Amino acid sequence: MKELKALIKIELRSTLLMSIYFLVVNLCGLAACKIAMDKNYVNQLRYGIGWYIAQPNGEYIYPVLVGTYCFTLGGIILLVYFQFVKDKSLEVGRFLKALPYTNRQRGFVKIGMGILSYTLPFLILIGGMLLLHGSFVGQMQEIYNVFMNQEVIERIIHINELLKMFLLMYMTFIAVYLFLMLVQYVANNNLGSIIMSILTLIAPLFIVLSGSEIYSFFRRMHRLRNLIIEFLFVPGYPLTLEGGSFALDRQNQEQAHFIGYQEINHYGLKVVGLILFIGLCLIFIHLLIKHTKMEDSDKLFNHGLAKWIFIIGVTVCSGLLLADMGLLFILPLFMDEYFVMTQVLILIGALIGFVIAYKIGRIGSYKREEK
Amino acid sequence: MIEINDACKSFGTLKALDHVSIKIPKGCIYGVIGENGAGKSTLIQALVGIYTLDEGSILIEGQPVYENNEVKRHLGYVADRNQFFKGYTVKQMMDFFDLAYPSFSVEKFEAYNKVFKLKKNAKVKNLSKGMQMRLAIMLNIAIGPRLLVLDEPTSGLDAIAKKQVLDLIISEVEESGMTVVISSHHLAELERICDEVTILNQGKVAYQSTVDDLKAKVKKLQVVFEEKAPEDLGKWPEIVNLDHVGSVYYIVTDQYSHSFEDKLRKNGARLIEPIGLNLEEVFIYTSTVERIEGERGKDERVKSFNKN
Amino acid sequence: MFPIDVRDVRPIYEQIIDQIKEQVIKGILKPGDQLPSVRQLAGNLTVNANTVTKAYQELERQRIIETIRGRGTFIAVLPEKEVNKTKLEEIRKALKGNCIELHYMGFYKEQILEEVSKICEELIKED
Repeated sequence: MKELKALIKIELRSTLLMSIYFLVVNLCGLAACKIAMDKNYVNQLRYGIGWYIAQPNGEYIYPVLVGTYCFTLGGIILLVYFQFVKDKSLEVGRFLKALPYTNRQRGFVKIGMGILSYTLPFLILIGGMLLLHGSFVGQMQEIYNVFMNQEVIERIIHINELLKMFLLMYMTFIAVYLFLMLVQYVANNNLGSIIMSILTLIAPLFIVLSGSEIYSFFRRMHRLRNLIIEFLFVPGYPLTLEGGSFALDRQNQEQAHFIGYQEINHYGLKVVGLILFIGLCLIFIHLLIKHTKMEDSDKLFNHGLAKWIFIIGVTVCSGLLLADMGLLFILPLFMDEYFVMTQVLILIGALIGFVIAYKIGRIGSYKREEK
Repeated sequence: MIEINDACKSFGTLKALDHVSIKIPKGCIYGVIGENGAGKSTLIQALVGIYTLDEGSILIEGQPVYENNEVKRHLGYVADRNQFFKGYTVKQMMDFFDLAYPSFSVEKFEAYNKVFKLKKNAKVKNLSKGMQMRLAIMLNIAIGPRLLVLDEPTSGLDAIAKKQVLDLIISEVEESGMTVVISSHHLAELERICDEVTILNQGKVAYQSTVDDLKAKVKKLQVVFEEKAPEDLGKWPEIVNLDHVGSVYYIVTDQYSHSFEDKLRKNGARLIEPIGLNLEEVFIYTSTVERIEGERGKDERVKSFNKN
Repeated sequence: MFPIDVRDVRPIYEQIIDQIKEQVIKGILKPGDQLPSVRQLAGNLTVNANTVTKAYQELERQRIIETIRGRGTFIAVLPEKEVNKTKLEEIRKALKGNCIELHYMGFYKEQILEEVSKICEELIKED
């Protein structure tokens, strides 16, 4: 560990900066929750059940968590960007390579520091939310004790579900982070690889949605379609909740309902899926780090395989994209030749996509030959 | 100390290094000379573990250098541009080197800085190119490296800075016995401080010898012939350049020896006077030949030159 | 201390040797004077320390300088000027060659002697 001090110092700047960002985001989330809770408490006292009926959507922990989750994901993207700025600059990259550290050590420290930077603020978020949750239940308990003859209905997410959600969120952070890292080792342009990673995460979802619109499969099978959609978009895993319920009963005649709703769908499957995803990312990162070479830094893609995956992906997606746009604007004019026109648009889109992707994929491999 | 064996490296279709072999003994100050694009930078970067080789090997004290931390800990590398990290100050770079290299000595760095006088809290990116170079050299020598590799260290430096830098290198070699490899265009400095040199041309080794030998072999002779100069003088294999002003011939040979002088005398030379060439001129004459003569002529010459 | 000319036909270490010898002849360096250390001279002239070492070793071989362990390098104090027979032979050969060349330039014996005279006088004048 001691000998890695210099590496840690290199990574410290970017990760510390982002750590502060994550902390701010999480603290804001906690603050928003606290404010909303207090407001709710006061309103309950003022208006009682009447207020509640007028405000059907009392649930706010979930939206706040979604908010912090999205901001954190954004932060993770920024984190990866900052972590790789140095490496991708030719001069600094050269200097780093000449230092007495192996590629693997550098990668390991980078990933470790990166994960640490959002873990600590996240732990603070968890701790804070648990406290707030407890205090909220306590508040509602208080209200209940005062208004003995009324039903106090409050929707709140059960603490177990909350913890499960946090776990899933954390795993998704790691999964997205590792995936962004992975693509950084595949493509040599910092910004380019980030854009590629984001698009790659969205692409499967887009292909299924658009494909199912155009080719009308899954149209009838709503449940299957929704299931596929839910599993295709990795960052969305912690967010799809459905109504479940639990009730906190008193031993009395009067019922006090704390309706805990919202359970995470297919929790077990998602956890397993994420573990697999993370595992694959780690394996590929390990392999790619070993084979990273400075002399390839002119080229955009280190490996031919990655280049072709990129090209095929862009081709398919641009075909579907053009067809989608067509469905909106042009096709209402061609109602008779609907199907044929769609295919034509797909082909045109695919061709355009292919040419653009091919040109992009060739970036860098020209230069040396001309020399 | 350093063994470069049959090193080959290509970038696409361009062969940057073509079967380059060099042996560098410990404590030597070794120069690598060549035009732009001759392969100097590629060789240097392969030597410090930035590039891999397609074929061949580079061993430093018997160990390969690529991804080898143990070797790199005692290896100092000064690139032609040394901006280091954005926003770092001189002091922060010093601290960084202290962390990264176990044998780094802060006292040594301070001692050198008494001569170079860089402000500790100056940001590296605000320093001039010359000052950045001086910083890089100070940092790397303060490591106490066994091998110091410099890529164009004197380009962009004024005369005073150049002297300070070279003096520092000379005294450090004398004191610690470190080995130095320098690649440069500035041959005037190289020839004073280098023990041996390799001249690279299009990725291949064109000449390789000690500086003294090189200058002993490659000489310019002012020759006056008794009558007319021999007809085939221009085609003599020992002659790389021929010029004349009136009846005075200026012959540049890369195989100077007494037998060559005798050959000239046998062909009617009355007066032969050697004119000193500096390394730059040696380089120019030996390089332009390749372009005129082509591959075969050059190979023959290199073989005979290196044999002698 | 003295100029090193990279254009000179002689290698650097030879120039150092010749310069020191010249200074001894002219009396600038007297027997017993201390010479700079190898490192000092190398730094002074901006040349490789090995080159200076080579020069010093040759000068020591020719008994022009001597190194006293722990104290430094000094101009040798010789009881008397011995005539080195092999060195004399070498010089004779060189002189012979130069005379031949001068002859080919059209000089006769008197003119050759005149040239040698001029050179000696110049050296004395520089003192």
